[in-house]
Amino acid sequence: MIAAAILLLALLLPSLPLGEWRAFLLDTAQFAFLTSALALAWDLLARSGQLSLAHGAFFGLGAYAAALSAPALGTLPALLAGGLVAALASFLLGLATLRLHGMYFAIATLAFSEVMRTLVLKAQFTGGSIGLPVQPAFSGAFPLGSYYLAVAVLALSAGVSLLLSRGRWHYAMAATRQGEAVARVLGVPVVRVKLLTFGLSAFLGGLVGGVYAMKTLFLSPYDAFGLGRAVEALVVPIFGGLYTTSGPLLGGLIIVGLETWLRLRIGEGYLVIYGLVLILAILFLPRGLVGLFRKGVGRA
Amino acid sequence: MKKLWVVLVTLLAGLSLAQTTLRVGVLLPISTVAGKAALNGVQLGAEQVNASGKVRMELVVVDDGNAPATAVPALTKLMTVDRVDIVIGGLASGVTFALSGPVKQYQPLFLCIGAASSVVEQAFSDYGRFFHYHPWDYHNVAAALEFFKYLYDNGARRVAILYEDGPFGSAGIQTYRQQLERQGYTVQAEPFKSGSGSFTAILTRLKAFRPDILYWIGYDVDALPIAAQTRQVGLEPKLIYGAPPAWPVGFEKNSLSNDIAGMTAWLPSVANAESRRFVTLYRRKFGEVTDEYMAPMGYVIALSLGRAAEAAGSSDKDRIAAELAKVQMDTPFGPLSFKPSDTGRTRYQGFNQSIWLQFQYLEGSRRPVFPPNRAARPLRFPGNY
Repeated sequence: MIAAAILLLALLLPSLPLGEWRAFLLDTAQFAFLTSALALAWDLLARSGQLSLAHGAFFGLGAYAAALSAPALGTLPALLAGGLVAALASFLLGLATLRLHGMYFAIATLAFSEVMRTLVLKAQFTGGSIGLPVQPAFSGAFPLGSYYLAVAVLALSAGVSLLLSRGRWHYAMAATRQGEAVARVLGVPVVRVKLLTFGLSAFLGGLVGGVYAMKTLFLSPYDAFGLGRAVEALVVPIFGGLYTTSGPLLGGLIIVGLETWLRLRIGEGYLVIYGLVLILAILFLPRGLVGLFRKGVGRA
Repeated sequence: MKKLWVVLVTLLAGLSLAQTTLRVGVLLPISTVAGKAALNGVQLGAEQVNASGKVRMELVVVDDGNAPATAVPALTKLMTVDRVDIVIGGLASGVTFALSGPVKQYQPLFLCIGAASSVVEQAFSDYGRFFHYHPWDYHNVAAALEFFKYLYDNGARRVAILYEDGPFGSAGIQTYRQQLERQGYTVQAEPFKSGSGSFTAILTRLKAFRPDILYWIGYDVDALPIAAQTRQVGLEPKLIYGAPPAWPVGFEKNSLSNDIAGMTAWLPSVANAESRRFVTLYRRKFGEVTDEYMAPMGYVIALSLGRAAEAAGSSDKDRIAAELAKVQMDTPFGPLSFKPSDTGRTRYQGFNQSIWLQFQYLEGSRRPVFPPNRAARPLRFPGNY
């Protein structure tokens, strides 16, 4: 219900009478949607028990692949290419690392992010350290083009998340998370579950990166592959509620909204308040924001 | 009595009508050292403009977060909610590039304080309301190379370049290398990870190269480890030359800083009337002296804007832009006037390589040492490391 309401609001937002705040709210909302979508992508993988720090890299790979291919392919195929490049990278990474668990897996994914960033930094065709100008979505023909792309990516991420919250796949992921050995005994194809989840999660992360690139119109390796983005991708679901759809969705909107509001109201030093709110939320809301609305753990 | 009141009210009304009121958006990364210094400078300049009584400058300050995802909505808010027509901002190149789209959409008069990358020059090439004050990256390269030519003439032949592997350190490295080689230098370049604190391996490797100049391009956190470890490994270059965007606070008080050289656009010790005036005003307002050249840069932007608005006698951005294009004024950096950029891509370029000066840490403070006409002390070469 929460997810449906947010998506409906996102669709209707441009037509609401927002007055002079309209353009600002649409810009802020667009980045918030992308934050939520990346968090949903990260949460998918977390459901299979993997703590990924590679989502900054998937985001960056998607962003660069979409930016580089957009002039030749056009907006939508370029975004798809970005998602596929990220998914392919995740598949290769997964083959090498999915036997690792917990912190070991996290460190391997962090190393992967660093390697990707360095490669993009050193490559000539990516613009290297100077950065890469990106053409706007649909060559700028539709002013709200990138906004609706962000809504579409958010809807897709939420849809996939909801789909994987039900049925056999949900139980397979939960069993893998809670104990791989037991899951295998139960007949769960653990490696396949983890690889497919990894691929799907990275594909969505890559799509998010592509839309981000077409909004900011410029990419640099440090922005696109930043560790901060990977950390944000995991903080948002923890804040909103892990292993749910509503949690990352709501968490992203609230975190971006709160940060923006504090920046406007407080200015310098807003990060202190922002950090304090996050710490309090993590301390006192172990099930995240969605824990406030529901007593049971599980799907939303 | 009644008549007196009428005269007073009329006078006040007349004065307020004669005063041009400007609402100016300031979009800076105010959580960073350079951003905060720039903001201080803009505020100080606006205060001076307001004190003149002819122009009233109201600043609407917004943090650009040093990230495109924050800067783009922040600019949108300035344009659509705060309804400013003039924006001072654009410190980091990546963020400024991301702003090029919304700037062209909302068409403000954009007074750019930093963003030295020529990628930004290209992005704003078709935008007529873009005034870029800071030199472009090719100006920076030209200024540094002039100093290296001087060092070559004084016997330096080998340069070891340590550059951080991020956008800041890597951006011009190939150009630097080629240009130095063209000057006759033998160059060996090594990347490093900024903030790692460990340089002994690279520095030991460089010992075999026996560099005359150790040129490092990194951040403030790298300054002290490089100074200390150069001595530890016994590298003994004739000059350590650093190019961080900001030097560590209090570095000059550490004896390891002695004889280390670097480049900046301004120092509080720069001896011109405008610089002295800026230092006095800054100390009065903020109770300290800053070494950050972004502070006088912000100050100059606000002053030049005030002067253009006064000449225009209007808050209309195009009339102000037309007057700003004609501005000629003395600043802490030297004379300011706008000309097309060297590549011809943008129409209004303020400063060029002439504002850069080379300094050396000497006895606990930074002293201008090059070019000779701006030097307060002779360069100590070879230095004692």
